[in-house]
Amino acid sequence: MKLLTHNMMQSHVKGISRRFPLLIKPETVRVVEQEFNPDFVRRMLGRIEYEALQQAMTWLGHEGKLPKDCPSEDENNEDILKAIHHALLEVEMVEGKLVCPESGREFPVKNGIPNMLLNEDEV
Amino acid sequence: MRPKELESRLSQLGDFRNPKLSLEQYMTRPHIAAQILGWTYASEEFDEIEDRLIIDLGAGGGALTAAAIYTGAGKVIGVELDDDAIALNLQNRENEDFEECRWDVVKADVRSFLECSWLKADVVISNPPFGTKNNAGVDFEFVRAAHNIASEAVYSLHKTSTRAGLERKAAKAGFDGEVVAEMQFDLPKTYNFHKSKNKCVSVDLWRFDCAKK
Repeated sequence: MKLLTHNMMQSHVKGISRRFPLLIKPETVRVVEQEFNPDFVRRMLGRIEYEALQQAMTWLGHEGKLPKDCPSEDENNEDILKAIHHALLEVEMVEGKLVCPESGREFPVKNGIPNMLLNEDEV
Repeated sequence: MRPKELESRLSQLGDFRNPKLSLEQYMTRPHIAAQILGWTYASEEFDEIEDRLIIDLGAGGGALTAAAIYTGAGKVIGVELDDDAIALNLQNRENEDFEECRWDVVKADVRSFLECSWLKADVVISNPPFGTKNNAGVDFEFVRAAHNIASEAVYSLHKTSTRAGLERKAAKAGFDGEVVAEMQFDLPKTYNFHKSKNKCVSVDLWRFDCAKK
């Protein structure tokens, strides 16, 4: 699970109001270099919750590389766009847990795949 | 990528060994996946794949996911419930054509999106179960779930024979949907109840506009 995916997800546990962001408890994290597509990164700047991305990078032990403030969608500085690209697409949690910020319900991540299924008594 | 080239690449993907009838599992045929993504790729009005964040809802073995990546999607997240389908999906992701990080998979039940839009994307693509066995209505559940996820558009494949019913349901739900292409779907003889070798069915590619919702 890459952090762009994490940024697009919420907890869907019933009857809670604080759904985002899902807390990350990593066990295994890896970084895989990816082809840089500045147009896609710029487009995503208008979609993502930037603070949650910063928070997620901290949880994964990669803090300090992102700019302090969210760049605008017409950002042209390649270093800045590459830092965002790195955070969104190159850092992956392979094993670990996502945790609902309100209920504490844990969603396991195995082999890079978050299991977001709720049990029958939870829906 | 030219449609023929796209189709040829998609035909390299692995298929289900023991497809589950209850989930209407089969690989979306290469020529259909190529036509769906080729259609949006060629469309000037609906150029909605390139550099987009896409969700493949009920992704199965990942045929539409792969097709979307080949036609320039920025990132695709496959949503799938079944562990065997996920295993096949991951196996297909190993193909050297895919940079792994543009293709994520989330294990989830499509019905969980009916009341809570807990995932976001620009565009949702889906080849849902047709809902013509003993699972009537599941096709439109997929459309409703997709509509809750997408901010731009939903592309979804449905049997032409269900068009009138879908039009009624879409109107009732207040969805802005239209059939944008018709295709011939050669359903392979995957299940025992298919008597003829290859059964050809007419299918519609629907586009639901989500920008104004």
